[in-house]
Amino acid sequence: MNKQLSSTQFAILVFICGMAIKMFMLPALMLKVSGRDSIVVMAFYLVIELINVLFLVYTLCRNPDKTFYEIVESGIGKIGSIITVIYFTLFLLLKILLMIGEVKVFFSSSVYERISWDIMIIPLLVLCVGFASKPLTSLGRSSEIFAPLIVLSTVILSLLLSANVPISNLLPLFSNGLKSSVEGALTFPVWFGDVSLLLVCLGNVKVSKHTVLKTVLMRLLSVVFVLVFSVIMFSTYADITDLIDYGHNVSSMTQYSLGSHDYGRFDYIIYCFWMLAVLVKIMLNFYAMSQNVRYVSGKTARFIIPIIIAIVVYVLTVFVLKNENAMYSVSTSVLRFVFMPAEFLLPFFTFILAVIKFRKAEHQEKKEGDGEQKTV
Amino acid sequence: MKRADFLLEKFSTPDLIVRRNFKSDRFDGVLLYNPDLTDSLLIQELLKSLEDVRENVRNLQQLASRFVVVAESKVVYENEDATEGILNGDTVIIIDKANGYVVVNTRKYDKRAITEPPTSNVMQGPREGFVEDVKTNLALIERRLRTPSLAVEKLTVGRRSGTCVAIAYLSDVADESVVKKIRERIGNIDVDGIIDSNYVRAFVEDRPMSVFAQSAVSEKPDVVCAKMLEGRVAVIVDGSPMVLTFPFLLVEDFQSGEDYYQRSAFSTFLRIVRFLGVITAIFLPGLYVALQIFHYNIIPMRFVLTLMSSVNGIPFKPLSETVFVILLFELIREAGIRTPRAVGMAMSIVGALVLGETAVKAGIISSPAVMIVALSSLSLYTVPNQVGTMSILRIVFTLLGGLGGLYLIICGATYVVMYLTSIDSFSTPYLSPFAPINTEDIKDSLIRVSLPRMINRPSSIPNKNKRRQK
Repeated sequence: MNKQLSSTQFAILVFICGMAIKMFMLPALMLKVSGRDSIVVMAFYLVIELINVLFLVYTLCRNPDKTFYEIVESGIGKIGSIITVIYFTLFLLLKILLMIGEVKVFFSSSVYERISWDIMIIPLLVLCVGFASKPLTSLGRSSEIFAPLIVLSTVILSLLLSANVPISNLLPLFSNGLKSSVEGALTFPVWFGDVSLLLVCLGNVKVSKHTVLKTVLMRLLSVVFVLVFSVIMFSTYADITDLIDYGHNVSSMTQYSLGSHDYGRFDYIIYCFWMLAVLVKIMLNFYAMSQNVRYVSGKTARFIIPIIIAIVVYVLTVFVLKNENAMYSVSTSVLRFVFMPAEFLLPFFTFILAVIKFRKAEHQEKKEGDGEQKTV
Repeated sequence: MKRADFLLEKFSTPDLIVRRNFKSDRFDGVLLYNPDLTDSLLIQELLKSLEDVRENVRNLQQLASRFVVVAESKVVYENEDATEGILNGDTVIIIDKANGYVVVNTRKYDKRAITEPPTSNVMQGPREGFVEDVKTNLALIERRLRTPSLAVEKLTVGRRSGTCVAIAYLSDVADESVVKKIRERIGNIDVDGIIDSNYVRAFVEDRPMSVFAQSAVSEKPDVVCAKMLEGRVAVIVDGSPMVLTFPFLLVEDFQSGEDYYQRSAFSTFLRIVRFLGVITAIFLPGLYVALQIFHYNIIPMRFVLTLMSSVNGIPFKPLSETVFVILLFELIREAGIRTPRAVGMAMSIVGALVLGETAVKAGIISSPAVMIVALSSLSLYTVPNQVGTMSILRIVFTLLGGLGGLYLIICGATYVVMYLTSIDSFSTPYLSPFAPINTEDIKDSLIRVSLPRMINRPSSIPNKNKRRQK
């Protein structure tokens, strides 16, 4: 099996990571903190992520055969790279707990009346172990299969929701100055910073002349989707944020737009397709964690490492972060500041290391070339 | 003659083999052959020509080329080769005081006539089907591919069956590495007997334990030749009308030979119908159970009321009811295949009408469950080669839907996709041209463009010669 992602597969992963978990509960949560200005906070983070994507693509194209670990190790040495990777893994752990929490909230609060999540999380973790034990190509190919479903469901949902949206509710912005925007920006960084996940793809992508274009376009598409959904959510609930509680999400809105008695809640089926994006992102996150642990431990065990990680995630989800409120509290606790560098600076950091290394190599090559010429 | 005795001693029942002594002006000799497998007229002719030899014969090669002209012949020197010849229906000539044996092809055994294969009936297009004889099957291919680049390699596989397995491909199209791998895998087979091509299949596929087949099976020479023209390699096994082709893509099973004999728009429509059929077959019972148990609010109110009145009073829970109906269907299907034709129709009526309708009337199972399973079962047969796989998946997804609703169905579907994306059949991604996306090959996947637009061979299949049209 070819172990390298194609440019298209990489671009699709960038697209999926860009939109998953940002369109479901996050808008509702942001509304509670930032009100109408949530759109500003959302746009701010999306721009930062877009810049990070550019750093990532540049690093990828300049060093197509170098993995994240090789770049970091060549830049700051073995010990430094191990510390960085451990820190990165802890961030990924927080992130996967958040994402599993979102899946749980959707299925438990929207689709199921009663469900034992302690058992239901197991199939999800089995999936994660399955993907983590296979080459990244498997996830890349799966994303190609899921991408049309995700796009189609997003477009259908946008159309369903867009009827009677009071766009004027979005204005005026900054009615309370910058305070609410800053507060929102400081509260929800854990929901962003998805470009760091993609660092694991470095060295595993077949770079072509269209890689940059495809990746940037797909990222822009995800930005458009997220903004459309956010605008709908923010403008619909801008005046009535008090009604929103934790667990309130975009599916609550379609409930009203559908007239559920006549047509049934067929939108749940669409949300399930939509959830595939979150599943893919969880798999990628889990894969990245497994690779990190493999690097730190120096072992290449195919199944054991993912199984151990799955057990840790299971224990944390079931016994420590029992409910959604606990998850929300952890995600918005001091940890959000601790992991901010991993979220937003790691791609830049990798880019800088790659540039330094590349320049050094270039310089060295030039020197050797000059030396050879002189000898001749 | 001692050598004839020596050969005959190897047989548990030497009487099965006929020994005919003959004498010409120049030499004495013996013919050995199995009368059940040989053409007696040919042997008479052979005998006559041998007895008529009046010249000096320097060696067996000269005898074979000058005097054994009634059929193809070869000279062998090993006793095992001579024995193998007799077992294959050849006649072995032993000449006194000459080393070696002349093996003459005098094979003749009854075989089925070339008819339309029962597994792939067509409205339009060729109606010929493969038979159980490898020679006839090769002739059917050779008649369609009249090119010197058609390569046929024959191997003998099976310690006791000594089955002839032929590998056929176009040497200037098929990728050499694929041919080499297939040749190696078949060559490495070390079993007692190869009874059917499905025996070979298990040894050649990358993942023989998988529920998903990784080789295509066809009974139609036109289909096999079309696949060979795309760069695939055919494996023909003596004794089996099923010809295998490698590498295999999942999308192949959604294609029918007849697709290429119809208007492309209609073929595309049929392929989409088949795809929807597969989705319906696999997921419908699971969704039905999931909606009933967990997500009844997804169903429109009017349907909920109808459904409630239909399932009211049914002693089974939705999951057990649906699984029961599915198993009932599988039972009827299995019995229908095995039942002698004379009583088959009666059994079908008993199964479908008496069992099904009576069970509904008695209030044991509900009509919606019967309808859902019937629709799903009907859909199974839109892609006949995948019936087995889909039947298993259908039960799995029904169980998942009943145990965890949409969530488990999504997890299960993701797992299946992950599994399929990890399969490569001879370096060909199983889900190609969809994963990885191959825009060129999509022209002949779920959609089919007209033949003049298929300028290149599918690039998903490794091949040496990309273009098929100038």
